[in-house]
Amino acid sequence: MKNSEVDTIFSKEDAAILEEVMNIAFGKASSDLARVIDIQIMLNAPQVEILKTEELMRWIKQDTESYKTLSMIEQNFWGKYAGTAILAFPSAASKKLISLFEDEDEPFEADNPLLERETLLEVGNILIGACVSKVAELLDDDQVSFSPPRLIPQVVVDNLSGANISPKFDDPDKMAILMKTIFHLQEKDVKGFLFMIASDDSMKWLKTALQNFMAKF
Amino acid sequence: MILNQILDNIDWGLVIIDREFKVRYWNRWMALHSGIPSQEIRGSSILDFYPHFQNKKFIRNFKAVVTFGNHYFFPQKLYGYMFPFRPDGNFVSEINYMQQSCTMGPLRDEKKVIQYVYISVKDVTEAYIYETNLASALLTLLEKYVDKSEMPASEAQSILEELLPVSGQEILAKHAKPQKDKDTHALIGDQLVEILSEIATSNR
Repeated sequence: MKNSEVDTIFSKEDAAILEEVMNIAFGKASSDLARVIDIQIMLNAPQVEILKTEELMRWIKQDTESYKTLSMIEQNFWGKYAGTAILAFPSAASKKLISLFEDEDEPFEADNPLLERETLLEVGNILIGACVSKVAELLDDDQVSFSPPRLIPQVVVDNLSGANISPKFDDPDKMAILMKTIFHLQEKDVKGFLFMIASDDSMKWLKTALQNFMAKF
Repeated sequence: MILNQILDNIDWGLVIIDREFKVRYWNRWMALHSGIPSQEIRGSSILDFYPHFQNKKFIRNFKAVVTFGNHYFFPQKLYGYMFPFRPDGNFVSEINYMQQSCTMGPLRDEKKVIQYVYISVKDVTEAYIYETNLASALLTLLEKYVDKSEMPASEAQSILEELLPVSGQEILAKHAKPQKDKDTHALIGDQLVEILSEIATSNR
């Protein structure tokens, strides 16, 4: 999608409504995560930006420059609302994230990289699933399906590029709607970012869904 | 009716359970491989038939599926299998249990409320055996080159790391011993033995 097309399709006003929708959705997601799965997570007020893929990487770098290396969990979602979600956190915080699901009766075996990787993917799967589903549900009662999550470990922040994450972010001119929030797992003292990048195909739907959402009030 | 025929004829296992873990659907593939007929398991809790599902991880992800509509994936590399079925006859001598790749996802009623959870089960034993044999052949070949001094051990190690699937590399990392204890040549031999014994004793 070209820059001009996005401008006509997705306005700043739309972005502001989307921020509001995300705010409500993330509030519901964090309360359900606490109630059902016992994960105490704080999700900051989200920010929505319309930008080029090239700028997207600059944004992520800028947000994460205080971390030396970054680990990311990437998961594609599809439905009327489709795109890619990325949960980014400092690599050094991996152990803390893993301990979210540590069973007191059965502590994790030390130095089991396979188990560690799968537990991080599980954490990502649950957090991304909760947030994406709530946004889709609130907008148009849409049902989203997910592809298996993928772990991108230990990326040096300075070397971060679209190609590190996915070939679809390798086109510098491609436009994306970036939805960003900071997540904070209070008990574990872990902070990171959740980025949701809507696909080209879902932009039209997103705009209509936002208008329909506003029409309810 | 046609849909039922499809679900009963696909080469996948399909189970549908409700929010109380009761089995609502058990396709023919599941009946054939488990030896449990559909009429016997339908209406019963899956936890009664497969008590190993009664663990925090499964319950947590089940809740995530019914609450958020998440999907959860049980990759063969971590779980080996979800349902302890005998493998197809061709693989009985090589492996104890059918290797499975499973997915758990939500099913909604007409009001879009998640009422059920499906579990799909794919038999990936053949691919697993193929991958394992390939890794084993590669290791044997590299060891031969290193033995004949036709390849430096370090180069063999790099090839190994590049070509082995991620899980193989992780097994290598897990078993790697400090270099000061052994020379690299012996290390590769040790890793070969350990990887093969890991595969042989994984009891999958």
